Amino acid sequence: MSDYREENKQQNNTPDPNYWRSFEELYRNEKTLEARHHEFADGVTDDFDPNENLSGISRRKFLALLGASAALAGVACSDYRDKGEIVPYNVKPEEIILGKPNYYASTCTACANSCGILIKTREGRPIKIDGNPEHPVNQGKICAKGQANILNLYDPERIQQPLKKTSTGFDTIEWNKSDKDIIAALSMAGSKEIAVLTHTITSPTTIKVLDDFKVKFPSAKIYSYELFNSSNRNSAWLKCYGSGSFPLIKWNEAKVIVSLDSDFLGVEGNTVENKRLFAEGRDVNKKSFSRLYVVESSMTLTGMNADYRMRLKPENQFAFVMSLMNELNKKGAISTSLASEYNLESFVQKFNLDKEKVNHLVNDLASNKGKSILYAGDLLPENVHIAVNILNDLLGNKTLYRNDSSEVNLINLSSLNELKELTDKISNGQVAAVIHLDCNPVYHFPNDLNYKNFLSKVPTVVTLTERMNETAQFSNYVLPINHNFESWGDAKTRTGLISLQQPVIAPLHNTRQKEAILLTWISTNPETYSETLYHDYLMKNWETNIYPTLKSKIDFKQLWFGALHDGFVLTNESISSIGNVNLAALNTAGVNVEANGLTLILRESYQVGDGRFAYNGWLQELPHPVSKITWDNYAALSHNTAKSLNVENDDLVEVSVGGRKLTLPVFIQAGNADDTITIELGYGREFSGIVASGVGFNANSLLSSKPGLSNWIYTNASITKAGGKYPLASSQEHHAFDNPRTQDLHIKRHIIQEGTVALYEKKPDFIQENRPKELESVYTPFQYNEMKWGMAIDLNKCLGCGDCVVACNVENNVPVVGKDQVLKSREMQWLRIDRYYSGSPDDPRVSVQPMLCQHCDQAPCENVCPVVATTHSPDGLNQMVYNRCVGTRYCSNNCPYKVRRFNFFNFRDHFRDGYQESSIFTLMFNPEVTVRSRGVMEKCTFCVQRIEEARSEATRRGTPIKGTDVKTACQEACPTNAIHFGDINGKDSEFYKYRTHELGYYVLEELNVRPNVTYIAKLRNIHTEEL
Amino acid sequence: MDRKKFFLSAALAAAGIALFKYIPFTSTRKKFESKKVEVRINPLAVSRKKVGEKNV
Repeated sequence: MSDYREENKQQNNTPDPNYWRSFEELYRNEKTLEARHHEFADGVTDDFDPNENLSGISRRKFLALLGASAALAGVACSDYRDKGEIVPYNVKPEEIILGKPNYYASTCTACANSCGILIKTREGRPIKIDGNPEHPVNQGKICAKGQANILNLYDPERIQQPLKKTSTGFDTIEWNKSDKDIIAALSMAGSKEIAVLTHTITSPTTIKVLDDFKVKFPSAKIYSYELFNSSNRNSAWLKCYGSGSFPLIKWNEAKVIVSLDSDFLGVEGNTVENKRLFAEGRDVNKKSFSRLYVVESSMTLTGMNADYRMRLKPENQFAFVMSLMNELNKKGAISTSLASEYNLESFVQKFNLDKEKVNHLVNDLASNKGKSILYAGDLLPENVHIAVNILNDLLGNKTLYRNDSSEVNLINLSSLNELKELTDKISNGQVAAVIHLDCNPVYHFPNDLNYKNFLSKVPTVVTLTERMNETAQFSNYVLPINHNFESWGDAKTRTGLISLQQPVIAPLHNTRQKEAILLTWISTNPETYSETLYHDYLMKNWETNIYPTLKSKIDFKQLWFGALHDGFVLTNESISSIGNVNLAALNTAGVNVEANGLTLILRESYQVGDGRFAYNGWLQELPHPVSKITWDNYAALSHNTAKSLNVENDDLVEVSVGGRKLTLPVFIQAGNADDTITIELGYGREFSGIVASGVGFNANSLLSSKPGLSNWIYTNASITKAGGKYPLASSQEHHAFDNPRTQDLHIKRHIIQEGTVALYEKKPDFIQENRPKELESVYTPFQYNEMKWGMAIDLNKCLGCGDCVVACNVENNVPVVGKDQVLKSREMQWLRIDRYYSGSPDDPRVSVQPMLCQHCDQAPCENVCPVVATTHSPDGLNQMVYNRCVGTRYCSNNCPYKVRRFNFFNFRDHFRDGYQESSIFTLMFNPEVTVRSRGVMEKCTFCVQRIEEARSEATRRGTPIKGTDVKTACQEACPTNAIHFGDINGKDSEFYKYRTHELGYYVLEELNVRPNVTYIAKLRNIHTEEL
Repeated sequence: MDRKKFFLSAALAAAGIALFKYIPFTSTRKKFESKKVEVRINPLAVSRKKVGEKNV
């Protein structure tokens, strides 16, 4: 052991362009190497040290304590807890067959994309969300937030009764009483404004309700806002083309994609659809690969998947596009004089871009006219979008704008000026009432609007919300609303398609649907309310306004129930064609001012969005796809910027811009542009319950009502050391399964294998050269003559988004453990996405690899279990028998892939005062999966419950089970279809093609454990054969 | 141990056991014992038995 440590000391600490996951690893930090040499992190077994508490105990005292413990255990184990009763249905609902799931098609309202979903229920309880396979937009897939939304339904912290503010806090109030008070206040508003604040609305019927509200209360005005939106993109489009909004993109048909500070695979637009279409364009079976160029300031999920990536500060993007335009003009690819004052060569020199990469970009754009697309990010200012629209037009790239469907905006977002006018009106006493319709402006609005303080000047402030938040705290009435799985609704986000939303469960609490609350107020009679009030209104609206436009041949009732069954209806709706570009739009674009100092970029969180999902423990604990940090946000700095500021990871710094300040920890992010600070919003919540409150830092305080470069980008920011440290819980170095003695092990041991498209075309089986010779086993191999389960993961399609991790959590009842436990490497997710960097910290290449139990034929975990708790099934599954497990953790120690997870606590009981053990929370559990407790080892089961369900169905059919009968939860969720599952012996299946693919390899194959997960090596579409 | 001390210990132990019987350990830390809820199916919703089906 001492040898390798000595060896490390002697090694030069110069960065080596090898594979690495963190700067600690790259620079071979002694502490990290030492920590990784041990199976469990420091402190992980502290709770179990017998010497700490029992040392020096006498025999007599031991026996006395043993006796007392036995007595207490006897008491503690007595039946004090109400375990409920199991009673049969007296009158069984017609649609329920005990033990069989029911599915309801509906619409997800977790964000404004309104994806079609299929909600799985068991005995009336929703337990799992998946995409609706027939839905034309998301086609059976749904993002991590959509899947984790099930937890929000059963959140014990949902408000269960209407509340009225008193001098000491909030008291419960009857619905009738609150309705009566509010109706009186609204009726007396007179000419004073009734401000209704909402997020964007995608429901045509909700729009109608608001129209009715405005008719009843003429002084009402609707304000709609989104913290993150595409307003710059759409206003640029209007200036360029005069009408419509930015079209949808045919990502799958593009040969060259140039992403300018856009995270279209991460958080911008309908990412589920974007990811699918992007991955369709990179198909190893069809041997067709698009080429992705990313020019960005912060390392994003999109940047991670780039073939060529360059770093550029956002204020220089406009000049970059114009310089590209000029260069393409010089090359004769386009004809324009718009950009004659820009020069690409001097730009490249000035901003130290890689000349070779830029040349490739120019040549690719010139030779792929009509097959390439430039795409600017939502955060960038309008002038960049205008320049991009014009360049796309000049290159003939309009062919990649979709003409089958376009986005529909039912309500225009309010501008910052309109919101400022609202606060002015409030301060002048011109507003009689403010109604917050499921939104949280106190948290979201820039502090300089002073919205929170102005609210006290409004006589009636009503907040309709599922749970307490910053805005509810300052409201007179807080009215609890239904979760979207308890609600009716419809959604129109695309032309030619209307989705329907239906309640899969009756309201769990004394809550009401928000539209029904407004309808009750419109009627001015609290007695009008009934549980079917909005259902009837919705149905009537469809019958009178929507049904006639469908020109359907079937009667309305038939169409209605059919549409509820399907979750959507298709309509005949054409989209307007795109006219000629207005080149003069560029004149209005303005010129960038040279910025000094650091540039602050405020982005949407991958995990918790704009803060709407901060209540969700699964999402808080989902490792950030790039940094792998959980439960926090941070100031991400480049390696060089951190060095110049003399700060390290976890150092607390004060970020200051325009007099606004925030103290938060630093995280050094490889690949970030120098002199930029990137902070994700959505954290630092207050008054928001036990999960969300106090997690991370509220970077909304850095927003201003006077935009910088855009609403989210501010130049001339600064950083000063604040002193002190704040530990960030990163899963980056957890469960590492390489050996610290050898750097570059990931490539030497072929954990990550990759090549280039050019090499693959020349030598398709180049991966096979690296395969070790098959060794003889000391055991007689078991012959799997019938079914044998296996998985294949196509690393060309895997983007590293983590949607599969959340799907696995939901399906398999994986608990949330909390930040303190993540810091000790005790996160319980069965599936992790390993992320490796290679190359330099400034310009790293990123590789991702989902890692889960490999279900090895000769599993080393099975040999060492002293109680035979982990065994092998005849169909090739490595199984866990929870009842047998005594928690020796030998299996985890012996697992070469480090995919086993140990319950150091009963985490449901341990996390946040037993939050996950409340009686309502337990309704969420999948009844087919055992809920594990303390002292038990667990790991991926290949969704054995789904295999057994399929087996039982096959038995009922009287046919043998087929590999295609089963879809694992991760496979079902993967938006790019990177995961394939099936029968290794089923030679006719699609899965078999992947299993035997020429690019297929097993991780750590030389160990001869014979894993059953095949990885398809990643190919980079670059211009050379060598990486 | 004398007779008096033995009975005192036994009585205290019995009282302790009785106390823990009615005030279990968990009562001091369970904050999320939410009220029981009734699971009801909305009769107006339309369910299906299979994942992949289309009607209209």
